[in-house]
Amino acid sequence: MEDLVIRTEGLTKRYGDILAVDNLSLEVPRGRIFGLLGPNGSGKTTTMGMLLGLVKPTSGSFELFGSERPHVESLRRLGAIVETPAFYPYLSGRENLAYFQGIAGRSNAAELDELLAKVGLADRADSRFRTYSLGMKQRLGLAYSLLGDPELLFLDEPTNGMDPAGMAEVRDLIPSLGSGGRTVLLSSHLLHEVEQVCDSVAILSKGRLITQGDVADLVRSPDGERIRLRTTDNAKAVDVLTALDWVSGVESEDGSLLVSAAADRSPEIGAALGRSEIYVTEMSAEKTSLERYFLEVTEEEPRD
Amino acid sequence: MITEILRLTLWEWRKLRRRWMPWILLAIILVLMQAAQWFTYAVYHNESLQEFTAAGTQSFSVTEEVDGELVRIEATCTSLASEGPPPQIEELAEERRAQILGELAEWQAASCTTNAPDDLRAAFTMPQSIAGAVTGLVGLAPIFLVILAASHMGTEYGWGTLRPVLTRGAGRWQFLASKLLLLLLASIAAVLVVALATGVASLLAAVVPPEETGTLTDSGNWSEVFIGSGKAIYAFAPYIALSVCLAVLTQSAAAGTAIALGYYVVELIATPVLNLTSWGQRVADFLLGNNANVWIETAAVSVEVNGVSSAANQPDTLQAFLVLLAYTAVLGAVAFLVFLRRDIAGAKGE
Repeated sequence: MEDLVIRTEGLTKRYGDILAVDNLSLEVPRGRIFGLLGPNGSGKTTTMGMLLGLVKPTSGSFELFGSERPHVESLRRLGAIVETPAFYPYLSGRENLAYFQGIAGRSNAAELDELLAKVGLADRADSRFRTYSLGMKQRLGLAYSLLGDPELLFLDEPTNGMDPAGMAEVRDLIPSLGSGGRTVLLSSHLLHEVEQVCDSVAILSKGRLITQGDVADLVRSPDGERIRLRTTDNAKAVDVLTALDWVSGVESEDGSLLVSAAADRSPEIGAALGRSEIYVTEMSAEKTSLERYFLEVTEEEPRD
Repeated sequence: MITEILRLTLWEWRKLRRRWMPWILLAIILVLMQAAQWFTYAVYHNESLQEFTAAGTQSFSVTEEVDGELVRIEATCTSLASEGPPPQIEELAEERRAQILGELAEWQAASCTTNAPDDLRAAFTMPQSIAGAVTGLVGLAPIFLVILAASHMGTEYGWGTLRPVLTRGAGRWQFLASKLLLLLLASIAAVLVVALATGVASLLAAVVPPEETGTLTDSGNWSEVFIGSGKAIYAFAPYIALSVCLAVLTQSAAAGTAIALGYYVVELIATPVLNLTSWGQRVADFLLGNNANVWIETAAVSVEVNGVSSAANQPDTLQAFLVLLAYTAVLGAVAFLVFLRRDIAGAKGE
């Protein structure tokens, strides 16, 4: 059985008549960058809140590092930013980090310098938090979440409020955060962000889990896997390929052929065409964007 | 567990000391306490001020019916000293006149010695000056303590900092316990600072003109200082619990402060009114401020009704001890219960 750092079963949170999270069963394997994807109000932050012990579940259960409920010991093994990072406005960035390091029973000034430099706040480390821009607050939040080199990171909309350059920097940073066996649970409503940085994803809508799986699997064609290829003779290639039992269809599109077949049949396609002296100049598994898939599974219309 | 709370308390202190509010509140307390001490010093050296303060704060009043008409008999310490008993007393029947004169003499003995030179001198001479200052804090400090305590807890909700604190592995009840412990320690520190400042002022009073006041430590007993300090800190505990409880319930520094201060003021006004009736007295016996005053042996604001002070209708010290304990325990328990069970939301924007 795969080593799970988070496992939820029937997790539910109700606020009066509003069902924020509905019977959520989720499994997050160790060492993955796992995306929680969903539109605003889909229950991503509430789910994180329950896992972090900030929000009491109405029903259901969950495990962190194999133990039920977020014990202090479990919480010490993780780092988290939930929504907009909140810190003490009258303390500097460095003092805020020192405080949070201190209440966890640690004291390491070198770690603070290293983290502040890592998130690009070294120059403003001694400025009061109230003087920070939203982007700088997000960066400090990232530094805070990395205190103590946690095994598990909860990042809730970590690029929220950042300018495009800052967003790109954070997206570049996240894969490195997931190195060394660390698990990252990234919540975002930005589909391309999740697609770019996550290995696995759970899609939520209106508090319910729509689907869960590897990003690579989810972005494949929903009509079955397809292989896009270009050949030296497309017309002849169509005849060759349609004759194969395991090819369910061949379409032409913009000078390419879209072959309905499993991606692992790619070598056999090349061989079959080669026997007919047709040479493949380009071949790749056909992907659909996560956005298209997301809209399909959540049955939402694309926004202009 | 204890280590955890102590560590959190230490970091709470490191955080608190960086705020302006506690220092401003402490400065105001010191200024007010010093003003009171030096005013007493000035009164001691000024006879007309002595008469003024005596006349301004103490009065005897009784209304009698004579030949179908109401006659009001009033006297102050100053009028008694300069003019003797009020002339209206002659209109009373002989037996009633003797009775009222007896009450008047009794009242004069009890009330008009408050500003006697020896008492005034003791008020700015150690150790009585320090004992008086720390017990006097019970009347003044709750206002400041309420503001500090509600702010210290409520701003965590306003700034949204509970989320990062609790997800960093600080246990909920340990965190709240550290807040309460720090506030208690802060009130102890305030008592020490006031005691120290009062002591320094007493030393100055003993050496500055217009005349030396004699030896530096010849009034009262030092034990009164320690007992008074301990009792003052005990009296602060329910106010800390009240403010923190309200801040947790309202999830707001402003609302917590406003409600706690509102209660303090309403109780101050309501107590004398309640004391006008027997059932009201029973209610007043269980009010926080009334019991705090009894506990510290500082008379509450009293109203003279037919020569009878409302201060005479106060609960005894043991009851005061138990009532303060009950307030602290119940308010503290409610704060813990709510804090442990309630969901933690994001910043509320204070």
